Parts: sequence; C-alpha cells; structure tokens
Amino acid sequence: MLPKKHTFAFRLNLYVVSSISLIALIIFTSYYLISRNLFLEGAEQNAKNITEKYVNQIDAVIGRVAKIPLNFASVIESNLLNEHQLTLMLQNIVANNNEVFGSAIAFEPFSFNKDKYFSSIYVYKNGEKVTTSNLNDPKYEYFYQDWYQIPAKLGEPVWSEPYYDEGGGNTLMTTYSVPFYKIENGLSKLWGIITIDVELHWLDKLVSSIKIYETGFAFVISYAGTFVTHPNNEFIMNHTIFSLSEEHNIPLLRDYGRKMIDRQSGFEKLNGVTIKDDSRIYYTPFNSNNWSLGIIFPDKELYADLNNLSLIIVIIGFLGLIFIIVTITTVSKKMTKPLNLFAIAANEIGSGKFNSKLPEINSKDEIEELFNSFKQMQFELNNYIINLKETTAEKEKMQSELRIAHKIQMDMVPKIFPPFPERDDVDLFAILDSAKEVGGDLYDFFFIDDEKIVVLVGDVAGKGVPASLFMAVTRTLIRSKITKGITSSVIIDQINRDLMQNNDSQLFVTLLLCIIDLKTKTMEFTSAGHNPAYIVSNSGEITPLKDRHGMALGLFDLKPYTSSFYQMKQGDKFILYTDGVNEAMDKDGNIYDYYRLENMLGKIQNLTAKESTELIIKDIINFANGAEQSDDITLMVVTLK
Amino acid sequence: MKKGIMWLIVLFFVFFNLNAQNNKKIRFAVHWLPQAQFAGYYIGVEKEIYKKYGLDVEIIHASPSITSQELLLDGKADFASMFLSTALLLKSNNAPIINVAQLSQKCGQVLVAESDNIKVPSDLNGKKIGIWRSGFDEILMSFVNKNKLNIELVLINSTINLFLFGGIDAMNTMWFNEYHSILNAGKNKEELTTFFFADYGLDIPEDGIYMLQENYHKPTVEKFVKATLEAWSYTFKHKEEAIALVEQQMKAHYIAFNKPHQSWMLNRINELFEVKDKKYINGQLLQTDFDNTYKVLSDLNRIKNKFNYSDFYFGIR
Repeated sequence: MLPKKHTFAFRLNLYVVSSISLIALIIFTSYYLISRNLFLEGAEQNAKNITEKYVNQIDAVIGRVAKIPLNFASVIESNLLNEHQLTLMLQNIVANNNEVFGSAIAFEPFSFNKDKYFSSIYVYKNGEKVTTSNLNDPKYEYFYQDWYQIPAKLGEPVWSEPYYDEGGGNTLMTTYSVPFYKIENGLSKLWGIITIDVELHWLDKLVSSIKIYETGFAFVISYAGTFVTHPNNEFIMNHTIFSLSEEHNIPLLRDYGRKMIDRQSGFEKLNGVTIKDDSRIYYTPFNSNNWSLGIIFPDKELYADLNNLSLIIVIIGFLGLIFIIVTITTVSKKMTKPLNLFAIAANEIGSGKFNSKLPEINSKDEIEELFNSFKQMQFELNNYIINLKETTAEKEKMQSELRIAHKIQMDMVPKIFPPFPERDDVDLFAILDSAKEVGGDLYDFFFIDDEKIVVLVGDVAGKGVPASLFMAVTRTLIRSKITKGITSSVIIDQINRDLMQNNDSQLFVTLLLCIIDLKTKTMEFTSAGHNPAYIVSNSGEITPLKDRHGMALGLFDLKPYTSSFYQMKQGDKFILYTDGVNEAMDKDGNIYDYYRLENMLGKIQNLTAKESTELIIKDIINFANGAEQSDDITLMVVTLK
Repeated sequence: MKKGIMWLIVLFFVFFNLNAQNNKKIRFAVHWLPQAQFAGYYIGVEKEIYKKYGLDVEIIHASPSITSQELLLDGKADFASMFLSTALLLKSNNAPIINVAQLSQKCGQVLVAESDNIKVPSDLNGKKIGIWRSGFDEILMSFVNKNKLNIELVLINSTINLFLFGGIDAMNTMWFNEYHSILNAGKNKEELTTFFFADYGLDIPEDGIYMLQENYHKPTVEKFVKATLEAWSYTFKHKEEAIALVEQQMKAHYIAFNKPHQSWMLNRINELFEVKDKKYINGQLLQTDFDNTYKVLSDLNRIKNKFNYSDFYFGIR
C-alpha cells in the first residue's frame, strides 16, 4: 500500500528506483542470457577438448594393439609358417603386450592341415604364465563364434561387442579379429582369422577418471549401444543405451544413442537416468573402433559459477538500490525541510500572522529563490493588508453612511399602509426596492384637498448617492409646488425648471404625476418620459396610458408640458411603476418585459392593492431567479372603490 | 520332563521330514538359460504352487552345451520343455517322449530384415539369412519353400551381432527375444521389415512340456500340468513380481539382466500363450496345430517314422 500522502522523497524514490530497477533488470537479464550462452559454448568446447583428449588416448591404445594382428596377418599371408612358429609368435604377442589377454589364430576347415577340420592355436595369460591351447573343441565350433564368423563374412577386421570372459576372472574383454587370405588358383580366399583379446579394465579406469564438474561423468557404448563403461556398474553389459531409454522412458536418449552408434559427434540437452535434472551430453566416436564416448554433466553445475556471480550481482544491485533509496530520502528530506518550514510559515501567514518568521536559508539554489519570493510576498502582503485595512475601514464608513442615506431616502417615501385607513374610496399600496443601498426611484402620494389625491412615480437616471439626492430634491420640489387647483402639467413644468438650475451633473428624472378626483373619478396625469401606467378595470380590461407629455425632467426647457385626462370607474386599479419592473433581468439576460407584466395584471382585479403589488413583485423575483437586481424596482397600485 | 521335550523335538523333526518326503521330487528341465520365458515355472516354485499340489519341483536350465531333450532322454530330468517342432522331430526319430501340455499356442518366430532393401518376401531372393545353428530352421525353410525363394542360409550361434554388423541381410528371430534385442541395439522399428511366420500359414506353436512315455503317471502329470498352468496364470497377473524372480535367476547364473528386455519377453510370452479361441483350454495341444506342424515337417522330409496325434499328446483334451 502506498502511503496516502505521497511525500516528495516517496515520489522521487518511486520514479528513480523503478527506473533504475528496470534498467538494471534489462542489463542483468541480457548479461545473464549472454553469459549463459558463453558458458554453454565454453562447456561445449571444454567437453569437446576433454573427449578429444581421452578419445585420442583410447585410440592410441586400441590403434596400437590393433596393429598387432594386422601385422601378424600380413606376415602369415606372405610367409609359410609352421605350427611351432605360429605358436611362438602368438606367445610373443601375449607376453609382450600388457593390454593383450590372449591371441588366437584359427584356420578355415582343412586349410592349414588338410586332414583337420579344426586348426587353431590359442595363447592366453594364465596368471603370471602364458598358456598355449587351442579352440578345436567340436562343441565350441569356432567357425560360428562372432569373433570368427563376423570378420569372415564381412571380409574385414572387426572389434567384437564387449563380453565377459568366463575363464579370465570375469574381466570385460573385446576381441579384435583380422581375417587373412591366401591365393589359391589366382583367387584370394579366406584362410583364417587372427584375434587378440583385449581386457578393458584400462578403458574403464581411464574413462572413470574423467571428472566433469561435480557429478558429471563419462561412459562408453559399443556398436550395439551396450555400455562398456559407466559409473553405474549395473549398466555395464546389462544395458544398452536404448534399453535404458526404454526402461526410463527417455526417447531423447535413444536418439542420441543412434547418433552415437552412427559415429556422430554432438552436444545436446538431456534429462537422463543417472542425472535426472537438466543436463548436457557430449558424444564423439572413437576413431579406432565403432565405439563411442559420451560425457554427461548437469546444467546446475555448468552454470554454478554463473549463478554464484549472478547472485553476487543481484545482492550488490539490491544493496545499491537500498543505498539509492536512503540517499534520495535523506537528500530530499534535507531539501524539502525548508519547504515544510515554508508550509508552516505560509499556514501562519494564512492565519493572519503576517510577520511570521521565515526559515533561514543558506543554500544558493531554488530554495533561496523561493525564500526571496516568499519574503517579497510577505512584504507585499503586509503592505496590502495594511492598505486593505484602511480601505476597508473607509468602505465600512461609507457603507454605513450609505445605509443611513438609504434609510433617509426610504423615510422620504411614505411607508405606512394602508395610508388612508379612514377613507373608504381609495386603496393604495407601493413598494420601492433599491438595487443599491440608495436608489434613484421615488413614489409619493398625498391629498391636495378632500377629494383630490396626487400619486406619482419617478425614476432618476443612474443609481447610488447622486441619484438618491436628485430624487430627494425632486420629491421635495413636488411637495413644495402643491397648491389648491394646480394641474399636473403645471407642477411638472415648474419642477423641470427648478431641476435644470445648477444641474451640472446632467442628471434627469422621468416622472408620472397624476391627480385623481376621487369623487368624479377623473384623473389628470402628466408623463415626463415615464413608462406608461395601466388601468385594470373591474371586468379585467387592461388599458395602458400611453400618453407622454414631454421629455424627462432636469435637462431641457423646450415647451410646456401638457396633461391628459382619463375617466376612471369604481373598482378600477391604477398601476404605476418604474422601468425596474419591465426591465428586470434573469441570469440569461432575458427581460421581464411588458407582456409578463400585463399577464400578471390579468390576475389582480379581485385582489387588494397590497396583494396585487406583492403578487407582481413575487413574480418578478421568481423570474429573476436569483439574478442580481440591476435597477430599482418601484410599483404602486391604486384601487378606486 | 527333559526327556519328554526331547521326544517331542524328535517327533517334530520326524513328522516334518516325512512330510517333506511326501512331496514328490520332480526335476524339470527348461530349454534355455534363465529368462522371462520361464518366469511361470520360477513363480510355481517360489510361490509354492507346485508344493500345494504335493510336488517338489527343481528347475534345471539347458545351456549351449546341453539341451533340455538331452537332459530328459538321459534321465537327468523328469519333465522338459521344448518347442513342438523339436519334439515332433525327436518322436519321429523314435525318441520315447510325449507331450503333456502345450503352453504356447502361437508361433513366436519372425524373420527380420533391414527395410531399406527388403520389403516383401520376394526381396529375400539371393539374400543371406541367418538362422540358429542349434535348430528351429523348419519354419524358416517352410517359409522359403512356400515363397519359392533362393537364399543363402548362414548358420549362426545365438547373438544378433552378425546382423547388426551387416554380415547377413535377414535373421530368423524370436519375437519375444532377438527382435527386441535388435530394437535395443539402436535399430528403429521402421528400419526393420518383419515377416511373422504366423501370417504365412505357419502358425506353429512352440513351448510345450514333455516327458518320457515310460514314466507317465497320470495323477502326477495332471498335478504338474495343473500347477504349471496356475503358476503361469499368476505370473501373467503379477508381472513385476515375476520379473523380479527372473532377475534373481539370471543373476544367480551370471547372465546379464535387462529389465525392459525381460518385460518385453514376458508380455510377448503372455500373448503367445493365449488360446486362439476361447473355446479351447490353456495348455491344450490342438489336433489342428499338431497336424499343421506334422505337415510342415513331413513336407521338409524331416519325419523319419510316422506317428499320430494320440501317440504324441497325453495332455488335457
């Protein structure tokens, strides 16, 4: 499991160690495989050298003894020797050659002595003595013995298959038989066979002395695959390489055996009988006879040095990796220690201790740069915070003043509802919702006399303090102009002129001012660039009052404002509003628009002025759906009863 | 008290000695040196199957210097195993022998040749064929005559070496013996052409048990044959055990023991001993086999004096 928090040291270790491990693995595998091949080639060469050396030694012995009967044969063929001379020669051979156990000469029937079917002399070692005998036993009938019959039939010298000599102390022997000929009527005709019997214990001794690695060994098989020598004595003469293959079910052994008796050389893989693990066999034939020498050695021993070396390399590599991990961990910890201190310092700074002490850095590296940047940051931050504090203090002061201004502004518009509880002929409700703390909208209503009520809605261009001041001025001016019998157009005219004076800021206000005679239900109104108001009749009929009587107030004095009249009926609702209503926006920038407003107006004919106002405002809020209010919203509903 | 114990001991030995004497002593000569071909007899002795039938059997092995028929005729054996053809030849020479059991039911001889040059019988024309000097040439000669071959016979002792060295082109072998030795000298099956004589109308059975007619004592013979058949039946069911006994016997005679070879031999002997038809009994010499063999020999003019099936066969019918 990786730790949840991956430290710098961990990451560095992960990347570096895994990269190094991968490279090391590739290098090691290549090294191992190449070395293995080299070892194998070396082993093959070694095996070849060893076998060649021994095969040469063996061939030297066999070749030397083989010459004896060959020479003898040519002597017989070219000289007519009597039995005594032959016997002497055989005795000489046996006495003077260590490896030769016995030697025989045997003639074809009636060919040496025309009266004798069997003619043979056999000389052999009998302890220290050399005994002379013959092989003329009719039961033995030497013509049918392998040593006689095979060279006779093949017409060439033959090394016999190995055999145990029954008389000779049960020693393993082989016989070399050489046919010889005489010319009869111009034809070369088989005359007889000369043999030497060679004891094989010298061969066994020589082959047994071949040591290959720890448990490797050598063996010799005959032409028929019979084991002539083998470390396991049980195999000698009892088994052929093929019967061993059959008994132990190792088909490969049979293949190699066939190659061996076919006089081939080879170096092959084997799972053998004596060595059951993976092993190698190298085989090569003798030159002097049809036998073959094989050596076997286990792979384990062949690769022992390589494996030891590899183990050492793996251990060194492993220790190296540990060293790298320790170094990386130590160095990166040392390097990241300032970072940790920076982290602590940053935390402290974050928590407000801007003068927190930074770690001391002596290194001339990236960490020092970080330190400098950090220090600069701390300095800048400090300055900024001081600045911010001042600014914030100022802003707070201003906001508090703005709040007061807002309160004053709000206090300017009547907010007690119902405003005329004593009157039963009018119901009125109004809302002003500022976009900022102080807004530029205004509404007002008041009675001129017992019958006439003034209602007005205005909207100063812009928002904020200037607008609100302009609005306060406007409102105050309106109130100051009211005299008995005055008309809406006169009021508007006078206010326009007043506002134009000293209006360097070029502010202006749209205004809808209406004077309603509650008795006659006649309404006189003047719209100075303001949105059209609506009349909603008792029956639900909606009538917009589209008349405009001039531009917004405070900019130009072009011509006198006029007014319009409208005859209301009992139950009519009169709806006044600012553009904050129809231009209210949702988040996508869609505006509320007149048709939504008109749609809402269709639902209010049975509601009170308060209910109507609140229903419409609620619908606007729903429409805006959390979007920031961009303009003051003012809505007033007047119901005539 | 002491005297009493003494008497008891004496009585004990007398009793067992008498008991041992009760087992009839039988000398049985088998026709070659120890090998798996005789495993059943070793089992019979070792597992005391003969003893169970009241027989004390001693197995004598023939050798290159003395044959089983010589041992029988010289009175050195009470029973002897032989090939059917050998026995018929002896009988025709007035040897007083009778067959008391015919164990082998099929011909186990096969002519083996290098498959390079020899594929069909006619390829053998003009070729050298090796055959044992000790006999058993009847089937080969019948085969040669049947196929009208002109061949050179080369008499050999017992090894396969002349064939391996290429001194002969083909060799008469026992399927259970030399054929396998040739395989285990490195020749592959596909490198050899085999002519099974049984496939050429020469299915002449081999191993049988013989005795001198004058010694025929029915109860003893029946016991011996029954015990022998039981022993072989056990052997074929317990081949590993039998091979272990063969190994003992061979090592006691200083003969090279080769387990795969002896196992091969026992398995082939098992096949050769199986009756040709389930209606026949194991160990029976069928009149047809007798007639077939008799005809082969008389065609070769080997039958000196005529005789018939009932003169020859005294076994199970």
